[in-house]
Amino acid sequence: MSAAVLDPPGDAPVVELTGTVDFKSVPELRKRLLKVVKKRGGDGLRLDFRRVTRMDTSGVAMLVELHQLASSRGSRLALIGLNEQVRRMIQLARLDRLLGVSIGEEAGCQ
Amino acid sequence: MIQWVAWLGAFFLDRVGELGRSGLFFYRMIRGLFRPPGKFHFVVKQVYFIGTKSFFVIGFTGAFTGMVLGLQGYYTLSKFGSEGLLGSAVALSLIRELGPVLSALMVTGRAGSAMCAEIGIMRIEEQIDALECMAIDPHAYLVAPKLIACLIALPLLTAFFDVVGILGGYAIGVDLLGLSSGIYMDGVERSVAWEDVYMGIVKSLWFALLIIWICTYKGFYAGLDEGSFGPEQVSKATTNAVVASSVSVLVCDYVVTSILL
Amino acid sequence: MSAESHLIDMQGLNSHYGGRQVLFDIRFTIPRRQVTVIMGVSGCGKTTLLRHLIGLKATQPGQVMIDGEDLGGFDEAKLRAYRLKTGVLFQGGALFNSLSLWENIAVPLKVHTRLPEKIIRIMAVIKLGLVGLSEFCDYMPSQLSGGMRKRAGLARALAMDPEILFVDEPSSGLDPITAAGLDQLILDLRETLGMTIIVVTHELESAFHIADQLIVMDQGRVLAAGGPEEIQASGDKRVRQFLNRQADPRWTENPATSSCLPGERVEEGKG
Ligand SMILES: Nc1ncnc2c1ncn2[C@@H]1O[C@H](COP(=O)(O)OP(=O)(O)O)[C@@H](O)[C@H]1O
Ligand SMILES: [Mg+2]
Repeated sequence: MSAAVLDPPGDAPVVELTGTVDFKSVPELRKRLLKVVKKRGGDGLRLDFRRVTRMDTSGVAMLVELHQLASSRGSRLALIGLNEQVRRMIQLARLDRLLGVSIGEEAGCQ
Repeated sequence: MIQWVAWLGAFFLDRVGELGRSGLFFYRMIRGLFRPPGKFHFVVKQVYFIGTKSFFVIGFTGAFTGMVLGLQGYYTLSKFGSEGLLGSAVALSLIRELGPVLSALMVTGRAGSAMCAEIGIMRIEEQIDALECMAIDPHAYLVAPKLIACLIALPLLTAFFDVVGILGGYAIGVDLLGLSSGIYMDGVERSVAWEDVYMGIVKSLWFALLIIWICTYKGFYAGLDEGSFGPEQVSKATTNAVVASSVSVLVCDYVVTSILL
Repeated sequence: MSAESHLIDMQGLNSHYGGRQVLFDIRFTIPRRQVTVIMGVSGCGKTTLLRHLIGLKATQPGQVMIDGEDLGGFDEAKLRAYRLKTGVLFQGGALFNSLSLWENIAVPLKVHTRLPEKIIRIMAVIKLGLVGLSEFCDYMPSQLSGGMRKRAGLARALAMDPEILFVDEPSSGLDPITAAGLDQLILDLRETLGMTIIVVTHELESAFHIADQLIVMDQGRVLAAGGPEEIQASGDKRVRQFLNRQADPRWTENPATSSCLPGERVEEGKG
């Protein structure tokens, strides 16, 4: 698992995630992402999932927490390039509406 | 006749089997001390349960034991004209003998029985099986924190028992029977040596080990022999646990005393 | 089918309680990523079979293969690794009654992961949401009905996102609507997560609805195994009896022949 933070000027910061987002990688990843949201609170955050192979429930829970934190600062979380497995994981938890994930969205983003 | 022998044989095989199983349980309990999960949180909870909640009972028992010792001691000693030794007599019998034993018996009755029932219920409701299926060692998760907590709490309760008991003896000897306060306290101070306190602590540590081992063991295997798992098995296990644990405390008391003397 | 696609291969499992044999030469295979339903009247040995498969009852070597390895020969490390991949719902739910619902689900997560408490709590609520209990996350098990405890038990079984799920009678004691909800959840889990699911039940309708493969058991033996259509079309007398919910003729047998009546039984072991 790795996460690269890109910060294009004048736009929301983008974090590129790579590998698996599971209970082994979430504790570290969460710390880094919370830091980004706290620092750039109002600007929103884009999470690039294109290179994420697999995510488990702890990943979904982390997204919920990030979403709550971002909303409390008046911005949003955007998830980009979710693969089939990640999307299903979110849909199974019925959090697709909350996290703004819809079926077929990934086609538009890739 | 043959049947009789067979019955006797079966009985002893049963005992030996039980001995082996409880030995294995002991080994796993000790091993559990060094295995995850972390125990701090659980130990704190158990110390509260064993220690804090037994405080009142122990204080009460200690006070009355000390008072009885004061009365009886005064009566006996005055026959030899040596009432002045009352302080020593009360303090020594409390610290070396009665404090550790009676505290252990009270903790068995209050906390040991509850632990046995708690674990027994977890057994009959398949909660222990559920723990194993989660790859959690029930000995490490359930039993080991109780052992640590009891090793911490019982010596402290014993010390509390001793102090309250000595004060109880004071109340009777000095306030009621008119012994001089200085003589009583001087007797306590001069006669109690480090060896006596040491003996009391060693005893209560052994008792803590015994109580937890026996009570959790009985709960852990509640119903497994009968092959049926119901409330009767838990109540039976709890009764057995309290009896076995109390008897063992008394036997162990004799053994430790004879070794340390 | 190749051996690869089988997760569990039962190669003649026998099981005893004391001297009494309750499972006789059980043979069948459990494919990966499918729902296998084990059916049979109560007392036929379904729970016992499950207890072997989750390593709670010792299995003789050579009788059950899991992922190509002998369950009877598992050492502690292997058993642990296997259990970390499995979730189990017990017949009675087996919730820890000193912990609230979400804390129940948190138990394996706290022991096996380094996740912070906040994430664990969100995960627990997600899992409870799967079984329709997210409103009850702070309730104690004693404050719930039996059916709700069962569902909470299922949520706990799912806590670690297991690859293999064992479920003992999920819908007994549930109303039809909730039971249907659980059936749908089991299908969703297979569909979206590719879980291998083994369900023990005696509810016919639910069994045929969710099963990719059905095993019908009777008195410790496998009567029939196959897809739902195969079982439906089975000509076996006992299978038909079970499917048609006919009364068991053994129940109406003459009690005079029962060995439980006192009297003229010959004492064994004498002489
Ligand atoms: N702990 C036990 N000790 C002795 N016999 C048992 C025990 N558990 C189950 N049995 C017996 O094993 C048989 C199968 O039981 P079980 O597997 O629970 O059946 P099912 O789950 O299909 O209702 C029954 O005859 C039952 O009496
Ligand atoms: Mg059963």
